[in-house]
Amino acid sequence: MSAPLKVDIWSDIACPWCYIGKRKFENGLAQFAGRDNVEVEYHSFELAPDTPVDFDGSEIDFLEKFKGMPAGQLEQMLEHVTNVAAEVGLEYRFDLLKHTNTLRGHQLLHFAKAHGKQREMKERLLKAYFTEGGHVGKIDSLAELAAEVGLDKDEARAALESGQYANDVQEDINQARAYGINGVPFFVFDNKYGVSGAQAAETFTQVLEQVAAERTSEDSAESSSHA
Amino acid sequence: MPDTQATSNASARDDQSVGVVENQAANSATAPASPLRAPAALTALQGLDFTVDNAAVCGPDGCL
Repeated sequence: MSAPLKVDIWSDIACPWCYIGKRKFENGLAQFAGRDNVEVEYHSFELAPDTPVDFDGSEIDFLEKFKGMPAGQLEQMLEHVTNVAAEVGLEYRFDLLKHTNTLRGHQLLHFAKAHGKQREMKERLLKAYFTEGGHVGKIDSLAELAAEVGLDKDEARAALESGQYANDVQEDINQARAYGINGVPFFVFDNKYGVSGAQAAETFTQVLEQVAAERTSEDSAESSSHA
Repeated sequence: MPDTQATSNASARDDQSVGVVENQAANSATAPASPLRAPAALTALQGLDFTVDNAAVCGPDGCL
């Protein structure tokens, strides 16, 4: 079997389109014949690094204060994104959501990656944030979530307290900057192609098929040149 | 908010490609009409202005 087709995904936890995009990508991947030879890796992107760990207010309060958006427009935006989320089977509860700084959450994702649990951790963090009203900025709650996906709670806590993975988060952010990524989710296929946004599942399938076809074509050309 | 709106760099804005970032070299007249255009090496992707035209993306100014 050839090397896995690599998909690198930049996203944030506090990013409604990232969760929707994750689910749409997964649905697209499920329809891709070569899905068993695809490697997915998540990378950190902070949309609002100036967000406090504890924000006392609703999501609309936060967006009004930090983004300067009018409340009426925000209500429409949240209703729309809630409806789109529901279309892919996700329940968004902005009424429960606890807005927070996601830096520690990203560090936890790197901890999870080091222990082979990044995909599970990503899903758990997003569900906690958007559906359950969980706090994904505090070490205590993050350690609990880590344990829920089979990671060692005490090790996770120690990693967060020491900032062991802070440099890994920053490297992801630097790479995003080098690519020119200024919005997420953002998908890079086989280190060649960038796809921006929570595209339709069919689009992701199409992209995967085309990248795989190009690989086959390149392999054939290489074989011919050595014949 | 449609899911399949184009997101590309400014020079490719009229090509109806679907949410795909491509390098300058990909904008040739011979490029196939497809969401994925000519190969863009990782190094070629660096430094491009990925203008988000709309839809299904969160950026520094909020979620479109």
